[in-house]
Amino acid sequence: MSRLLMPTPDPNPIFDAFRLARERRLMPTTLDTAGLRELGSGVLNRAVFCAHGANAIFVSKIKEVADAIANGEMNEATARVTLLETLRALRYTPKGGFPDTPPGAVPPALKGTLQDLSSFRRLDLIVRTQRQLMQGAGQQYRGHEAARLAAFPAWELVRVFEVTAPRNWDGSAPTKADPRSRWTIAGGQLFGPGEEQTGMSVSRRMIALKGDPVWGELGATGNFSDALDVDHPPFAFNSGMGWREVSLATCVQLGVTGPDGQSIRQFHSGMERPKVMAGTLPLPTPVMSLKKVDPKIVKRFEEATGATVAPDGKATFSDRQAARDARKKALMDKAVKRAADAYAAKNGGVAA
Amino acid sequence: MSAIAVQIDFSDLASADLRAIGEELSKPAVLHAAIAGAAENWIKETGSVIAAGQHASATRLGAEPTGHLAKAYEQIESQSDDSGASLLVPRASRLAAAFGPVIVKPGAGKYYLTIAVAEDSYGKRAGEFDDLFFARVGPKHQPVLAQKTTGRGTQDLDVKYILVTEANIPEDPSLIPFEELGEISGIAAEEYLDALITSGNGGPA
Repeated sequence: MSRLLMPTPDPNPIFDAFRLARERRLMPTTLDTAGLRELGSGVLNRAVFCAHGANAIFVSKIKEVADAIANGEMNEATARVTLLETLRALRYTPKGGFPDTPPGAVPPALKGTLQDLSSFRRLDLIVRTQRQLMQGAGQQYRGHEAARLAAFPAWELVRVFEVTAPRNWDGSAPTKADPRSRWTIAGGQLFGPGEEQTGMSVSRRMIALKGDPVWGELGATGNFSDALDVDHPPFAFNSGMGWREVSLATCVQLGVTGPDGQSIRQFHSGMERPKVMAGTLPLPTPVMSLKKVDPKIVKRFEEATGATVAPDGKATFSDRQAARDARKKALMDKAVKRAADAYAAKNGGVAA
Repeated sequence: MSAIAVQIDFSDLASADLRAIGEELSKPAVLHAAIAGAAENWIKETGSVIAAGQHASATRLGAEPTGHLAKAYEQIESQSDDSGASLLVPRASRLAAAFGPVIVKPGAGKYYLTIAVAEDSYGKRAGEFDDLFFARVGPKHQPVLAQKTTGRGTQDLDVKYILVTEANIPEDPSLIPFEELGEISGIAAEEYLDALITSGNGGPA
């Protein structure tokens, strides 16, 4: 029996992002972001760092607020102001840095710029990047559990937040700095017809198996200067990109394989289970008749189930996955409409 | 909660393929993982659409939406094990209202909550300004945080926040579509079983 429990009377739910956050170490440093990269990804992945954040107390506070965000207990605005109050208490100034910073260790910054640790832009970048890194690491940790790997063998790279300067991930938005698709450069394969997503239409789907080297290449600074040297979202500063898990059924339907053409099982286990029976025994395609049924009802039936109704009234369910996707979409539309109606009622009829 | 228990027995006469599928079905953790992942994917996709339509405060103030609701949906995590699947929702977000009315009170040592009423204060905390001062305005002497602007008299105040001792957020179950999530779980289970059967031999091709 399966059950979907709705959260969360549990006073202490442990988010995986939080679990990973706790394993990270502090790393006060006077290096800038490029210098930090030279330390190698292994160090960065385990460290909460802040370029030019030389004061250990400040870096410790970053870890504290990042933990609180990762555990769902603090929002970004509160995190920013907590860090700002810490900087004020430590008597940080953009020009002189922290009082205990050795002279010349940190270049003076113009107030309000990204180099100024106390600026809104900088604090926002610190908090947002830390949250996204931990969220991405948590998602990867969760997705690599054995059961999850069996049910969802692959990730799909999708846009989860709009950004002002989107990078050319799937090849549909070439820019001077990013002329080629990052996905292709990283060795990824594009699949199937794209699905329309919130605020963005993608032409093809960027899908690869969990553990595929493409994920590491996508986040490698050797390939992309704005990358974060991680093999999970957000891959790069301000990328706005994230993951969705791809089910086994969809992987099978799209023909997703390992980087060298291995089957999903071969790639994930490193060994092939011998086939007991040669060939397959396809199940007969179910057929039903909708003869003399109102055409409007037939149309709605087709939309809801993904079935094809021939002129003689025979309905064929040739694509069960498409039918399921249609049902999911119908449920989404229903939920979105209910939320929009509730919101409009609360705001005196104004939807947004 | 209603539930259906299904007992499946595979005799020696069953084909090796069917027995392999039976082996997979005897591992509830994978089925639960399929349900958990599908519910997480669906709530994130649905949430991003719901959030895109809920910017009334930002629109009213002419401010850039902060995307706080979209971020909250994106922070939802699913977990599963042998006994079931669950979704974890961040507490420090408006999604908490999906589970009942929420009364927000100031944190320890603080007396007021701030509600942004200006374009440039929306999405920020009062502590991020360094030139705000406390004042009372209007016939009801509403406490506010404001900036001084050039000019004289009452026009001197540029109110950034109104201050309240508590805020009531009414219950809004539409934020988490519980009913649809149940149906999504069913679809996920069906999809998982289909994939087992389609791939044959009880596992992915």
